[in-house]
Amino acid sequence: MDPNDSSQRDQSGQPSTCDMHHEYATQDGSLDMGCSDFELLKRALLNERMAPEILQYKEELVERVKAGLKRQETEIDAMEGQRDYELVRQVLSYEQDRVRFLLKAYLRARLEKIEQSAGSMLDTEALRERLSKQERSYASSFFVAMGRYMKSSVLNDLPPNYQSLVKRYEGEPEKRLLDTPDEAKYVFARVLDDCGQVPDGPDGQTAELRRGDTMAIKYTTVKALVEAGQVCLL
Amino acid sequence: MPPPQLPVRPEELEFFAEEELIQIVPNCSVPNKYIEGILDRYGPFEPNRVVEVPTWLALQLHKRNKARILLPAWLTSDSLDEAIERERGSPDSFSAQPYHYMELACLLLEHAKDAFTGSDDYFKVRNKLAQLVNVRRHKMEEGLRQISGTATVRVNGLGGYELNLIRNNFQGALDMFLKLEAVEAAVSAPLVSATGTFSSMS
Repeated sequence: MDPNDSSQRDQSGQPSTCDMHHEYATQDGSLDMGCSDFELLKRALLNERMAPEILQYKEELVERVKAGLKRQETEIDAMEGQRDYELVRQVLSYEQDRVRFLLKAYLRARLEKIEQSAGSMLDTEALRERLSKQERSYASSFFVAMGRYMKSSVLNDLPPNYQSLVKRYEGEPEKRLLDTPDEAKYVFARVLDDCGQVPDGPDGQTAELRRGDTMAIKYTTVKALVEAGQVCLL
Repeated sequence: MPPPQLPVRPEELEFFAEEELIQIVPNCSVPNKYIEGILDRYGPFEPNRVVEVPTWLALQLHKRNKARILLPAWLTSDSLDEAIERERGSPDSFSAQPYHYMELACLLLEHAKDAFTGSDDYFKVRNKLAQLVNVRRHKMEEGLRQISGTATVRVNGLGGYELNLIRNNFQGALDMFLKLEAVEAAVSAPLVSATGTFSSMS
């Protein structure tokens, strides 16, 4: 890492809320500019882990990382056997392992959420939009398999009006058995960009979000900001 | 009953911490001076020239005896002394530490003992770090005792490890208050708005 090369990473330290003069490299560059893909993927992963609902699939980021991994694969193979490049090869394959782990963790976190509430995801247009194509097909096959299992083990033995997977009884107007995630929870959030006063409560209370702050805050307050990338969850 | 699972495990925090930059002095060089990775270009690697690399790379090179790790500025004995003074002097807020200070310090203490030389002796630094962690933990416990309702709390300066320590307790308490408030609103009783007396942490 050439310290003079600032194009790749933004290493702004924490702002002087406590009048600190130290600069700590905590890689909280604002928004998406000047952030490495690792940082972006890490944020996506943590956001998914902490948010109660599933978030928008970061298709571009994932594709970029996958392409990078593939490129690296061919390069590493090319270096096989050359003694001069032995160290380089080891370093690159270590990095490749790290990136692969992070990518898998992100995808797995999303799959877990899909498995938890596949039914409601398939049912709601807005949520369905947030899944990738593969995730959508995974959700439907999971739901179908789950449904088949439920029917054969329990539901078919119940009286006819109570055999639905999604409604508690036939004729119920809403699909009450579909899980919707509970948004009433607190999260730790890091503010990446000044957001000013944000509506925080039913009585018109607002919270001020300054860049660099770490807050314990209601998820509903920061939901839109997380989507926009101005806040990330910890 | 096992405690509820943390969304971010300590090993994962360590994984993220290893991406932070640290300074090393390599004693070798590589073809083309730089290593072109997926995420970044690392280098330039020249003997006896200080360069900043991610911690995972520093540790790998150190393991192969190809580089010497330099102690980060915030982990020197003097810095820690200063930090402890600041912590003791401000009961209402936490001094800014690198988010991953705990993980990085443990990694270095375990794998890079030779980085602790001279006045930043290994045992001295370790003891001071333990002191710092203790002071901060007492502050956190004090703050936790003061939660009396839902509130948006600013917790600047806490690291990932510390957030995990208080996560279940802190978030759990706030979540519970949120649920109780919802119930109160539902029965249309006058809302007992609990002003966060936890403002000692903001």
